[in-house]
Amino acid sequence: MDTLAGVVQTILSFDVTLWALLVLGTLLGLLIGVLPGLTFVMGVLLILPFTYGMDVDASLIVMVTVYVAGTYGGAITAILLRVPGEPNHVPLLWDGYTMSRRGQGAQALGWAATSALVGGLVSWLFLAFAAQPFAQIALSFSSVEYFVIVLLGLTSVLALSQGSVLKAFISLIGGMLLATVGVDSVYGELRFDFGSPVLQSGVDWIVVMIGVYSLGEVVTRFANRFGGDATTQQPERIRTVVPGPKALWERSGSLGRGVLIGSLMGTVPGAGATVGSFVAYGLERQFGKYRRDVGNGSPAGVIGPQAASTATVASAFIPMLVLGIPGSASAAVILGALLLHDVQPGPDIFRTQPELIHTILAALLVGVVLMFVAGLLTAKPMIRILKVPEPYVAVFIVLFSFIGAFALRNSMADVWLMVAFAGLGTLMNRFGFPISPLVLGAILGPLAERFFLTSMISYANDLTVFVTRPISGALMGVWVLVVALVGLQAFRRSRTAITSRHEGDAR
Amino acid sequence: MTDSSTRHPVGLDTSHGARHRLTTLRTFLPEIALLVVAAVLWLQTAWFRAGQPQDLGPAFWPRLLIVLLAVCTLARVGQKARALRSGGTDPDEPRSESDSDPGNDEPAADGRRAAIAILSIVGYVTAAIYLGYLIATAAFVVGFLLLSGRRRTVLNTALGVAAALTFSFLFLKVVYISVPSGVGIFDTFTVGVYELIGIY
Repeated sequence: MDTLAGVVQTILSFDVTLWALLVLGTLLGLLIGVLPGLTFVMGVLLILPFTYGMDVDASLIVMVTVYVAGTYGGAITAILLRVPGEPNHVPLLWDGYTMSRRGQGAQALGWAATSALVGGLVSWLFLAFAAQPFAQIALSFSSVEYFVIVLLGLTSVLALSQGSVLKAFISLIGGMLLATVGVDSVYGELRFDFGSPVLQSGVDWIVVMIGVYSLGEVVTRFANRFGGDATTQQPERIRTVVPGPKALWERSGSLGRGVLIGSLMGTVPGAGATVGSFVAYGLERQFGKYRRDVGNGSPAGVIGPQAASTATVASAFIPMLVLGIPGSASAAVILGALLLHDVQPGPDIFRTQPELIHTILAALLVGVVLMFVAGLLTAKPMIRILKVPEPYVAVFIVLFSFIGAFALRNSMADVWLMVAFAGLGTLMNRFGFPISPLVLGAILGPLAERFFLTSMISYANDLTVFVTRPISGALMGVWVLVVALVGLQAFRRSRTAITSRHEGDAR
Repeated sequence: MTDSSTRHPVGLDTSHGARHRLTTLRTFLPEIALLVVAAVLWLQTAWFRAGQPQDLGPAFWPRLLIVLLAVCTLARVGQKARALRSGGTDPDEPRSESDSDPGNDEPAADGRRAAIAILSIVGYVTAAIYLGYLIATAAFVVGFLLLSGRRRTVLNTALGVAAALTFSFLFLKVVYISVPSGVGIFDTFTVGVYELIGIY
């Protein structure tokens, strides 16, 4: 109840500037979501340099609202134009666009907006009421438990990888190795600097993210000649019809599954909105009441993925605030912004900085509601924005990326590193290595090393400590299950590949 | 099985063999590069200070990662080699750029264009140091749009100048980020423009 009162008080204390930032962040998030080639992770990244001059509350508000609205904007174009603004909106093409072609575009938009609202609100409740008890438990954690949690996060990236597990693992190790550049946090030794002052201060993960995500994407899109231009087709009438209570009750199963999946996926580092959206769609198709219609223009194929996408946002803040481990790439950027403002998340943060928690909760709550309202009101102008040719968007991404990297330490060295990572990102795309594990490795790698080495120092290099302590032992059990799942997944994929090759040979 | 030498003259066969070797080398290029990186990093760890006898030391963690990287890379080599031997293609290798991204039906990426994009960004960063952020940004916007096939020179130039001025104002005056102003005459020019628009 204290949390609710704190949130209400925070919302009431917002001045005109903060309200303006809330609206601006929401509109920016919707816009970023609409534009293909500009993901909401990139959006949050590109907003980052503007927040350096703000206080921590204002910077959190703008980043959180961009993140929330970014999970919805792309639904409008996916449903009406078959242009998924974000990867998490790809499942909406299958049913949302089909509904649109049948003349049910207004209903599809209504379902998407309502699902985003419900997903956002329920996962907000999850964050508001589950994070603090979790933080109480986390207060008893030592470096041993933290190491096993980080290990679980690193391994879950492999379990959720959609391509080769081996390639995802190489990418992950690459990211972890990148994080070892510079002065190590336990022994104070300078590592892998190759005599260059640029590398002596280490590689900031924000630079890695801007390079591989934002610039790497621009290079890849440029190389693809900004292909797949579906922006010239503009629908005649754009309306949104919000479903009534009866329709909502009928579809409550899809909504519930979407929200549950999104809330769970948000807490898993590396999963995020895209994985949540695809998993929710798969569930609707396999187990939903309307599973036979999914894929042929069923609202269930819109509700599940959209509810899951937006539900990942609030839940991604749980591990970030409680353990300092971001649940998604966007949460990682927000964590970076917090660290730049000298705020160190951890289980103590609920006791030491309750105002900050209330600001995050307030921004999330208002952001979800504003996203819904703005989503209903701005569908038409958002569609018109797609008329802007993509090279114009791309050139601005480069300009923002330059500033984003430069402003971290007012150093051109970070800009050069960013360009190098853009090259690396392009090569990884070219050779089919996934980028998310690299980024997650760069973020979680230093934590894994610090927790592992401090555990070893504390327990005289006794590795059994990870299984003999009750909580870490239980978590290790879960880790073994995840590793088994990854192994099984890799085995199944190789079997499928061999079978299809044999079938191809037989033909 | 037909011997290839019976079908081709010796010279052609040699060039075919060389081409085959080159193709094989190209197939394993990412793995070779990764193994070289692993070897270089491992050698670097020899320079790290050794800790107390009971400590794992600063080299332990990177070495562990390097070993994991090398083992996974070798496993990839084995996977690819098996696929090549059986006459198929590696199932984990993207056949085209669009394969790596579900739902993407874009044309395949052009390596030359990717190189052009990266070089243009490298040019932008270099120009920002010597010509200053203002001139470099205006020139980059115009150049990048031209390279992207947008040939409306007047619009591109206007956009480039407007973007350079707006971004400079925003970052110098509002966010207080001191972007580079260039060297020599370019520095003088940039400072002059900044004074004109009220930044300084």
